[in-house]
Amino acid sequence: MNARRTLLLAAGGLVLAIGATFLLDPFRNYQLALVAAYLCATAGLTVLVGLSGQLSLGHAALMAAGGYGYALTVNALTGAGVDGVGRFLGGIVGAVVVSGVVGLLLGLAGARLHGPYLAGLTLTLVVAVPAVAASVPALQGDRGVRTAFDGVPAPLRSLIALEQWQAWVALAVAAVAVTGLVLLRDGRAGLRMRAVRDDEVAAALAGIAPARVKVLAFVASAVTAGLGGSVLVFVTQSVSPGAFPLGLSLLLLVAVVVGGLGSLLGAALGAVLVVLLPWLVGTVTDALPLPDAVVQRLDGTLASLVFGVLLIALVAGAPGGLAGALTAARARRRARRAAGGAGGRRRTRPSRGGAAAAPPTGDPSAPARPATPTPTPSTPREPVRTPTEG
Amino acid sequence: MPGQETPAHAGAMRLQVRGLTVRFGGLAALTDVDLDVADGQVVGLIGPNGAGKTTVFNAVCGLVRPTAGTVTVAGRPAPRTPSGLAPAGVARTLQGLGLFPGLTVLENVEVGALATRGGAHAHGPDGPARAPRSGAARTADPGDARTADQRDARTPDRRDDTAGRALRALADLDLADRAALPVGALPYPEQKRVALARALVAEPRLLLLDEPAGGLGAADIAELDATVRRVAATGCAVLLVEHHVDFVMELCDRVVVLDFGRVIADGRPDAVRRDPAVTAAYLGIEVTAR
Repeated sequence: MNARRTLLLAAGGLVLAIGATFLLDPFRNYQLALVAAYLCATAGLTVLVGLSGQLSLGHAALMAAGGYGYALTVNALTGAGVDGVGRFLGGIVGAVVVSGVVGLLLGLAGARLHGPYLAGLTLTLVVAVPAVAASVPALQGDRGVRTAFDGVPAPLRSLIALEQWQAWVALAVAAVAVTGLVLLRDGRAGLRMRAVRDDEVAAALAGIAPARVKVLAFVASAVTAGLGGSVLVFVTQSVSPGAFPLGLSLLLLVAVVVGGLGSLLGAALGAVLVVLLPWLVGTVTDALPLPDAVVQRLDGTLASLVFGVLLIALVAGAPGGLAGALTAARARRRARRAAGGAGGRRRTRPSRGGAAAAPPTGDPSAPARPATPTPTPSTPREPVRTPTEG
Repeated sequence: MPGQETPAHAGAMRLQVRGLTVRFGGLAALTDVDLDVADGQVVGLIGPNGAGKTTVFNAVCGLVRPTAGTVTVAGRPAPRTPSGLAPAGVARTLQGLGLFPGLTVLENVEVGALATRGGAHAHGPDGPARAPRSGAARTADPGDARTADQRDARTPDRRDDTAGRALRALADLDLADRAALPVGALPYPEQKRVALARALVAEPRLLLLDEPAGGLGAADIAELDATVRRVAATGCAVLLVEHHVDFVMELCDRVVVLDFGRVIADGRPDAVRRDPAVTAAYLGIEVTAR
């Protein structure tokens, strides 16, 4: 409810995260930028699924919509002689508009569909979008659209490397997206969404228009996913149909469930997993004395396997996901302290959210630290592996 | 005819149902039902299982489209969709609970407060019209003083936040210390009260209660009785569906009996009790046992 506090926390988190980029080498900063991009998508998805109760298997398509919106707008602006910050912001607006419109259409359809039917619709979208993008001449087929290169601004050029600059931009966009979602979640809209999720008839009788709430959730989720897509394009300077396959959609959903459905902290943990897990698995298989053929075969598939096992283990052991497990542990510790201390005075204080409430943060790197599993020896310069490949 | 038995002290007509007919395919769930509830009046709708009581509620709430007939709330056609009810000053509880299990007690009630601004003017020009109750017993009800305080407290405070209103509604029903708990953690009678608080926080002018006493024990029912009287004393019209006949006969100003989708009796509780048609259809054993 306290919007000013949320904004202050977000600004503080962003400053901390940007400070943290100075401690990372360029490859880590590149990974951080990817985490920020995927955080936009997972945060939007966790709000959609966890708060409004609508299942989307198509968030990769919404990222693609944002990516193409960004790339086409940026190229148009380049043609018009605009560059620098203006061009970037124009591209962001393009991403928001395109992904927002796609999300609105999906949401309008989704408000009339339930459960598996909505999931089926979004699944169709994520299958259709790459195929459509590949066959539309303006989108330049399978090769995709290339955008102009945004280098480090001149005043900073002597201070930071390109990857660090990209991480800053990605973090800033993610901070805006996540802050927007936090404000939505903590406000009346979030309460309406959770009411509709729990009981549509009771919500309607309380004066809520369920269809409107569901469409709003879809648009918000689509716009943040689109922002994530535009960040990916900003970092890689290209967008192509192959970058947003069905597999990515499912991976985003798994990440959100593993992180903890409905929790923005969980979405951040999930985004870290999406980026780091394939890379970690690759690092481990490279380090093991395995024949090349085996390594090649494991590449990409082993990460999926690990993700699947993680999903099963978490759903069985901690249905609230990583964030839920953290919250539960914290509650247990607090209960133990309360039992040991102040004479068991039981005073319930009204607080929002309960287990689903992650501390509002626009800082994806802070929660990233504890989630990074055992430090592994790594060489900073190695072939870049993104989860969209393989 | 309905309305004839309306006590003289009752205020303006809040709910008017005329010739309501609802058919599901070939099945006539309701046939030509007339029903009136005046401001400040408590009307009980009873009848055997399947008589169509909840269908009346659903038709009033826009959950079921009437085949024929009209429903007016405060002289205007009833909203066509359920979400229009709260702005029109109508609140309804559901059979069972109808709570949001993923929300805390406070949040559940807050949802009910979202649609209206709070303050007596929330429902348009007829808001402040309060029908004075007859009978010294009701005016002396301790709840009445509290309600007056509450009204004074909130009238100037129109930007009142929903959480504050929800907390007050919870406090009214002795649930303030439960506010932060997940609603599923409460015992059933308290959950029932949360559902009631969610309806009352909207400050309705017409309150529809679907089996409010279902699953409650004697003490809880006595408390519910007092709460409903208190609400009616503020001028709110109350229509309730209930199987608990003693509760209905004790509480209601008028009782309407449905059987096979038709109104077979409509009048003061003692008259309805003696009505042979009612005895035959529904109350037989209950009444002759006395």
